[in-house]
This record gives sequence, structure tokens and C-alpha cells, in this order.
Amino acid sequence: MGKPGLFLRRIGGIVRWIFGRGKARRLLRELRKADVGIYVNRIVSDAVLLNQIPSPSDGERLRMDFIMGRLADFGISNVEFDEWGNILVLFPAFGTRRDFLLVAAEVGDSDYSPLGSAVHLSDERASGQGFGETSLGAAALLVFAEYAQATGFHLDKNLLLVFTRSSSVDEKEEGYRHFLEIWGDRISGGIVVRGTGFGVVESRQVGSCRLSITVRTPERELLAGPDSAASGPSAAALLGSIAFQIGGVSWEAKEAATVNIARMESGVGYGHWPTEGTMDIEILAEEERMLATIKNVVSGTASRAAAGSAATVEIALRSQHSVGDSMKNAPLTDALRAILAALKVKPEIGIISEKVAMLNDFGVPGVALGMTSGKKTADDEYVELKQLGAGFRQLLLAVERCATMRDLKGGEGR
Amino acid sequence: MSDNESILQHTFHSSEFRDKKALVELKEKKGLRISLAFPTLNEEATIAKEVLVLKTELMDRFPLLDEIVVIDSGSGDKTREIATQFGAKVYVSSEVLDRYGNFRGKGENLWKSLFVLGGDIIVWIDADIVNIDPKFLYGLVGPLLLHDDIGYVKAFYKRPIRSPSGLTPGGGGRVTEILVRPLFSLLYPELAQLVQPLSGEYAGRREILEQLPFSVGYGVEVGHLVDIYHRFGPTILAQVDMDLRIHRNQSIEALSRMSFGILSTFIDRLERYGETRMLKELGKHHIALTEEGEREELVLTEIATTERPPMLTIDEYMKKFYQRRAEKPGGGPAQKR
Repeated sequence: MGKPGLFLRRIGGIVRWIFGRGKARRLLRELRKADVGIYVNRIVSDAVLLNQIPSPSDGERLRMDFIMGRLADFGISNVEFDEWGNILVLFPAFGTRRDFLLVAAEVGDSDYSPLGSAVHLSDERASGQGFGETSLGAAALLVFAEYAQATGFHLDKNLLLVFTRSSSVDEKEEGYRHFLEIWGDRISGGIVVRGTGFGVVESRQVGSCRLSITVRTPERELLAGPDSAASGPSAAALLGSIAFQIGGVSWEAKEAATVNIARMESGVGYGHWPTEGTMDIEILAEEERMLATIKNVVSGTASRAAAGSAATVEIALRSQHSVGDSMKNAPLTDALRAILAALKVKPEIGIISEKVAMLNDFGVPGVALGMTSGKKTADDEYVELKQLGAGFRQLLLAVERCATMRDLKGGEGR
Repeated sequence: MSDNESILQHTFHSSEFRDKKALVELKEKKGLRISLAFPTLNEEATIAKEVLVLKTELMDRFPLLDEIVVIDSGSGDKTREIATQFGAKVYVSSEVLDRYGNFRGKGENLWKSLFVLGGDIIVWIDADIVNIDPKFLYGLVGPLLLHDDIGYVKAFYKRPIRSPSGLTPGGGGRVTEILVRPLFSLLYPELAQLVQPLSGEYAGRREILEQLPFSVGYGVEVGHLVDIYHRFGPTILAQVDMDLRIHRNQSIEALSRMSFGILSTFIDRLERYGETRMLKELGKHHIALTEEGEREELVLTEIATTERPPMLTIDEYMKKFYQRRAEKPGGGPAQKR
């Protein structure tokens, strides 16, 4: 969306502002009491279809193509597929405001499987791998776009809807980061739409860092003696030793930080010397400094584990996200609390999620909204269907509320 | 078009019909109504999704479909309640045209659905599809809306088979490849051009379907194809590629019973059209063997081979669909091919 395009849209915005403000107010009043039943069915249906598309694909292209097709079906023309694989949809504001309200959702699920991701619907629940985590949020944003297009929904702020790859398929968040590098200074506030977590107000600051530690040892026979050139511990034993040492470190303020060994894998079976192994470690901390300190300690411990042996240790940073900024987000989280109260939903405190924390990194306040509640265990993943109506109404009200808030980002705007 | 390759020339991909708006416009321009029926028996695991997705996409968003009906054989699970909850109109097969008696089988449900559905184009979709997609419907309807010379459309797809490790590509369609394709190759080579002659997803024009007898059991699809071949010619047949269909795979024992039903219908058609003469009465039961301890025991199963007559011969049907039309100015029986 180049500058001439934006200029023309702004002119269009002035015209709409002159002729359409009354209509906008009427629409917003209607929105509060709108029957969202039909939209709930559309959300579930689109989420079912999205969830059965193979993922990840190159640039998450298959699922993004589905979304592009849908937007075309809805007759939405202000759509751009950027070079980083994000889909941007613009609904210009009434009037001349220059700032944008971002509404984003994640797309893609690295755990996709044709059978596991096929959704099962019962009268009360929808279950299927990845359904609640990603597909439901993206489908809700799609249906929001459909709603906005069908009702001529224009607000006092420019509305920018973004479909971006999930952290599951884009661990380093490159697509979203590049989008924010280009658009961050024009966005005054952001709403991240998620499938689950309805009623959760993300106000707790927690950052995370994920490391992959790969250990390699020379090939050797199982019973090679101590004089063998390749003597020393196996990769499996080394990983065990690293895990033991990390587990033995005591951290200041235990409640404010944790180190979680998320995965450990080594060896090919009995009768083989395990020459290579990988351990994934997740560090969570409430402060940036603490996160950095623990990361250094874990990396140092892992590097020293192979000292004096022929083994090598490689440490790769898989992803890192900052703790977020609950103060900056406060106007949006307060608004969400008020909306939840109006919907008679008791709020719960949650951790600031990655996409919101990244908004904060770019100086943008953000809030995440869940569409319904759900549960994810090793064997089962489901969401409740009953709450989806309230979840979608919450999204409509949140967009309306955030679009009328001024000085979200410290006075920018008109 | 030569009959020899007519089906291959009428072979499409569902993506050719993905412009749903254009299909809706065409349907309205032609003044047609389109009906969908799911024949069911204990399909609570998948029916909700099938009804929801097709209703949302092709009734609410794009009004291509005029009605969705579930016609149930007496499920013991929550199939009927769930289908109703998600927006389908549900009929119990035994309560439809009950003065003609009742049989249990998919073909029975299809025959009765022809009576309860109101559309000019009838679509049947099996209720056990795991990866349901709107293309299963618009892909079948598209050729009928776009090509007036096509009267009956079958879906085809890759049918992976479920295994403990997930899905094995290309393992499905065993009865087709071992039984039906060899039979068609021997006797109706034109029909051997159908990739999935037994697929449970097909659509047809009412004026054709109402002239066909329906085998109440497994033979309904083969019966339709052979009857259409003789009465209308293979040039009215088309097939559409739907890419992939994941569904419940049947056990080898169930496939054996299915083959019995299909073969029985096939032989019946050969005799009916004077293409062969059986000198011996056919067996009435499918015979299987089962291990009981160290002994093998016979298991005899009666497979429904009854035929329902063409709907046009049913008084209630004529009254419902023809008398009403005849009473309207300019009405009258639909034109036959």
C-alpha cells in the first residue's frame, strides 16, 4: 500500500467523515446488540477449513492463500500480501486520522497432521490439533473482516487487519517483526485475536527465551575401552549431565523465573553409541535482566559440559521475546476488563503473549483477546463452542472501544 | 462426442467451479433449486461438521443450496439430534413412504430422499468425510449448472487408508479396483473411465434420477451407472476431482459383504438388459468364515438386494411433484430426456 494509495484513501476518509458519521454511530449502537449467531457459525466453519489445510508450508502460503481467497469472496479489495508473508487488510477511517488500529491473528501450526488436525464437532465442543491455538483466532479475524465489509464498518481510526505466521511456524517471528518495522510508527494500538483464552487479561510481564543445545561426540563401538581414541561420554550422557547441572542451579526469586527442559532427544536405539543429541530449553522470567542472566548461565553451563572431551556443543537461540510492558498496555487492558464486565465474564490475569510483547518492543500498546475457553493436553485439545458468541461480541466491542481511545501511544493521532 | 471417451472428456477438477458467486447467479438464471441429502447411520462423529460447513458456506454465505436434509436409517447414537442442532432437516427413513415398507441400506435412504427433497438437482454426500470441504458440493453441482448435456456427476479423489502410523496414500478404493473396474472393463468399458464409480458423493438432475430404480443396499451406485448407460447413454456422465477424501475405512469382511451386494446388482442388470442369462439361481446369503477356537465356522449374512422402483411409478411422488406443477399455469411434468 504505497503513499499515493494512502493519500487517496485519506481523501475518501474525509468524504466518509462528512457524510458517514451518523451512520457510524448508528452502526456502533447496533453492534452492541447485534445477533452474532450467524458469525459464530462462520467462525467455526472457517476454522474447520483452515485447520485441515497442511501446515507449515513455504511461507505458510497454503493457509494464507485460503485467507486471500476468502477476502476476495467477501469483496474486500484493500488487501496486500507483503514480502514477508503477512496479509494486510485496510479499512480506512472516517475523517483524516493518520494512525492505525491493528487487529492481528496468527496463522499456521507446526504440529499439523491430516488426521489429528481434522476437527471433530460435537454439540458442545470442537476438538482437533491446532484448532483453538491458531485456526480459531485467524477465522475470527476473517469473519470480523467479513462483518466489517458487509456492514460498512468504518471507525475514527484506520483499521489494519493483519494475518501473520504463528510463532509455531515462524519461531523467530521474522514476518511479524518486519511488518512492525515498517508499520510500527503508524500503529497507535494493537489487538491480537486468539482462539482460546477468553476472559484472560494479559497483564503479567513474563519474557521467554528458547535455546537448542546440540551435542556431538565421535563415533565409537559400544565396548571400546578407555584407551580408545573416541573415549568419553556419549551425547546422551552429556545432555543428561547438562540437564542435571542446570537443575542444580538455584535462581534468585524462584517465583519470578523458571528454566524448563522442554525436550531432550538422543540416540537411535540399543546397540548404538549415541553420537548426537539435542535438548530444548525454555527460560521464563519476569524481568529482562533476569532473562538475560539465566540465558548466559545456561549457555555457559552447556558449553563447559564438553570441556576436556572430544565432544562439541552448539547452542542456538531459537526464539526470544521480551517481557512486555503492562503499564503501556494498561489503557487497553482496562478497556478489556470493562468489556468483560459488560459481558458478565470474570477476568483472569494472564501472561503477556509474544505478539503483544513485540508490539510493546515497538512502543505500541497491545492487548490479546481469546474467542473462547479451551483445554490442551498431550492427548486432547478442545474448545467450548458456547462462549464463541460472547467472544466475537467482545472483539467487536474492543475494536470499537480502542478506535475511539485517544492518546493510546502518547498523543499521536490526528 | 464419442461414447468411447465421453467420460474422460467430461472429467473436471473441482477448482474449475470455485467461483461460487457465478454458480449462484447461474442457478438463479436457470430457475433451479438444489438439494443436498446425507444418508446416515451412526455418524455422530462427522455429521455436525459436514452440515455446519456446507450450510454456512453454501446456504448462508453463497445461497447455492436450497436445503440440507439428513435421512437416517435409525441411528442409535446422537446423529439426528446433532444434525438438527447444526441446521439440517432430519427425516427417519422408515417414516417416509412407509406404506411401501422399509429396508435398511444406503440405497433405501437415497430413494426416499428423492421424495422428501424439493430440488431440481439432487446431491448426495456420504456423512463420514473427515476433511469435508465446500468443493465436495460445488464441484458436483458446477458441471450440471454449466453443461446442459450433463445429467449425472460423480466425485473422485485420492483415498488414503488409515493405518496405525497415520495415512497410507492410495490404499483406498479396494472394491473398485478388485471387483468393479474388472467387471466394467469386461462389459461396459466406457464406465471403466470412472475413477471412483463407487464414490458416495454424486449429483444428478431429478428428471433422470426419478426414472432410475434404486437398489436398497450396496449396489445402488453400480445400478445407477448401468441403468444410465442403457437409458441415457454414457455421454450424460461426468466426474470431478476433489483431490483428497479422508474417511472411515471398512474392514475386509465388510468389503466382502459390499462386493456381494454390488455383484448381485451387476448380475441383475446384465440379465435385465439381456446381456447374459443365468442358468442357476443366485445365492441369497453372503458366506464368511470365522475362527471359533480351532474350528472355522460359517457366517451367513443376508445382504439387501431389493430394488426400489423408479420414483415416477410412486403415486405419492407423482402427486407431490407433478400434480402440483400441472395445476400451476404453464406447469406440467418436467421434460424428459
